Amino acid sequence: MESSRIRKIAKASSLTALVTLSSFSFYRAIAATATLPVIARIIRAIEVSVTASLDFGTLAVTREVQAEVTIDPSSQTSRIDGSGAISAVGAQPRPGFVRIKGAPQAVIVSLETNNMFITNGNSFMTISNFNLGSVQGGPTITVTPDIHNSSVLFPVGATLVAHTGQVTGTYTGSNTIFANYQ
Amino acid sequence: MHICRLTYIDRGITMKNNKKMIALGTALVTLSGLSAATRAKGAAGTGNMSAVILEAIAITNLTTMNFGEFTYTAAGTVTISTAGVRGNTGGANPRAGSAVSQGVLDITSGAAGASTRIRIDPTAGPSFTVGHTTAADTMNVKSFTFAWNGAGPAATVTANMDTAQNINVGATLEVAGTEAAGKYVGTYVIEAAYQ
Repeated sequence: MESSRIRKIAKASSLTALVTLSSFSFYRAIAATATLPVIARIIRAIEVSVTASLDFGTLAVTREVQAEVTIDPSSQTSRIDGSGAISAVGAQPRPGFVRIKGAPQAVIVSLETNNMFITNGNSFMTISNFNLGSVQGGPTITVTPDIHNSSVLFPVGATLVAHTGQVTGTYTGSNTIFANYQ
Repeated sequence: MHICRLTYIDRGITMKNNKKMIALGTALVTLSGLSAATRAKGAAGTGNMSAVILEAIAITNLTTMNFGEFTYTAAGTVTISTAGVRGNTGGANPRAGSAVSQGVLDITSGAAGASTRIRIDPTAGPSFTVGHTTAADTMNVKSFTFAWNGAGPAATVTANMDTAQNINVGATLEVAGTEAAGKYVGTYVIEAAYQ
């Protein structure tokens, strides 16, 4: 009888201790994990290519007065001022063309300068008032490459100023185009 | 919180041939924080047993970690801080206007005042991958950091869940510079454990 009681007491004591110890153990071990999402998107790098240079063609000028020729990118025609001091001869003025390749997202296209010079090595002429895409485009536009061919093509116009005393020659120069995703 | 309270009656110990069992019982009772002295004197006593069952920790994703859009010209990394600030190294070039976000989690527990350790699940991490949704390319996401209520960013933070603050998560995305353009998705696994 007494032996039975002792066994019960010991059993109860053991149970007490084990329950208490196990409760501490449970407390320390309890943890939860969760799987959480993460996303990223790689977009196609922008490529810029000049498919046609802005070309004012061959111009005949008198040397007495300043004269202007403007290339309209919308109509892709040239307009000569009414001074009578300049006229197109031979090759006609034509707009430049720029192609932007990239993801079908808005791309901001801009020029390094809106007023530059072209030179024959000794003399220079001024190119200004660039228009990208249209006659109202100005030197900065936003374009979106087509979703199917990932590119967009647009014309570039500007105004050439031949100064008084302009000498004969071939005048060249370059401007830099920047393109970045909006 | 649930408390389970059990009670037993100690009626004393008289048999000498049960010394081993008595010793075992005494040692265990002492470990449990109860006095065995009353039993040695043969007196009756009451001991309490308790067990605390804590409510399971719940983790909720509030904001998906988003590295945003980027291009690359060579290998590099894109990082997102626990504050949601994006950075880059090497040839990876984030698109400035794209939406980005650090991961934001809500972790709740039923243990009032209990601190909870948050870290990447060591059995799943430390790095994970995101995969192209249609192509086979993958990228690694690693170096996760956590921030909570001014603590961190660090690989492990300890939070007191009595304070209503979300957990912010940052990480680094490795770009090899050869991956196909497109959307990449994946998962990471965190662990929250009572301390």
